[in-house]
Amino acid sequence: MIAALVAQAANPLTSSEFDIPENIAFAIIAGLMLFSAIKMVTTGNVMHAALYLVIVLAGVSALFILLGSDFVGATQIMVYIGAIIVLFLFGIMLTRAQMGDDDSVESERRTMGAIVGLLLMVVMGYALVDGFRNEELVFGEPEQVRYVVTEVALGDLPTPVRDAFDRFDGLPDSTMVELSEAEVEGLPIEVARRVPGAELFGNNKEIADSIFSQYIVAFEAVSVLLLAALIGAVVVARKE
Amino acid sequence: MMLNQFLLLAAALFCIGVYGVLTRRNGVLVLMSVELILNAVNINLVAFGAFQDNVMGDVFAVFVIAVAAAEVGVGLAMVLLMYRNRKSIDFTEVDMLKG
Repeated sequence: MIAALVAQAANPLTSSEFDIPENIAFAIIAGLMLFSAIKMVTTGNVMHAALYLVIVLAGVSALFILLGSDFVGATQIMVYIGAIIVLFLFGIMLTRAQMGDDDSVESERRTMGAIVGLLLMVVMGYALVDGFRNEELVFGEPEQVRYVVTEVALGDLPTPVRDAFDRFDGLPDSTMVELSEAEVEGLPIEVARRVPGAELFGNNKEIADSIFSQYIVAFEAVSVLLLAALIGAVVVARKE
Repeated sequence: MMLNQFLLLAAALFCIGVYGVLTRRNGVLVLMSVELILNAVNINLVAFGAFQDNVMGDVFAVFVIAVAAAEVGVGLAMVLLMYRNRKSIDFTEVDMLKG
């Protein structure tokens, strides 16, 4: 009788070493994004604003990848930089917006906008610093340990494993059961460690699973919304 | 990495987007600033998803991207229509509903 048990290591949430490379990458990306965003909303040239927006969007995509969400990062590049920016450029060129100078913004509007933006930043910054003071982001799966159980009497096994055997009605070659460290203790088992980093980029499967099961209604609604937007854009923009 | 550094960056981007929406008069630039705001929200969603170690944030961010694409399509169509009718895309001149 062979059962492979997957048990989670005790507490993976204590790795609080100062991860320098990630922070340097974050600082570079964040600085570039803030600079480009500010240039985007202040530059007089509309075409330049679109190109600064590209930098911001690419930075957002880089942040997604830094956060371990490579699927969303790739989607961001394809949808935003690939499609939406092109749409914006077409919009700029079709409306022949004053390519040179859009900077006729009254200084009154500009000061009001700056005041509103700064106040919003102060409020949100205070709330965030107050609310999430020292929360750490922990990446990667918690380290998993694969236990290979050989030649164990069924009675010795902890309840979850026995349930799994019952469920499969017999003895499959290997059964994966989540166990805590305490449940595994005392069992005659061999331990095979999981290869570290093997699932560094691995949440695509979970995303697909939840989109097509839990969020299937939202998914279908989005497809209808896109169709409606397509038809609506054509109807609105066509010539009489 | 801290969670807060992502949230604060997103807040800063959000405020810059709000500033752009409030000050810009060119319709296309206003739409671009709205994109900035939506992206700030997306950063928040993905950061919270990574913080809680589930994929809800990612899924929601993908939906937000899809809705943003639809919004840009319709918005640009409206700006185009406005340009065709008035030869201008200055949002401050659109005041027909003003009482």
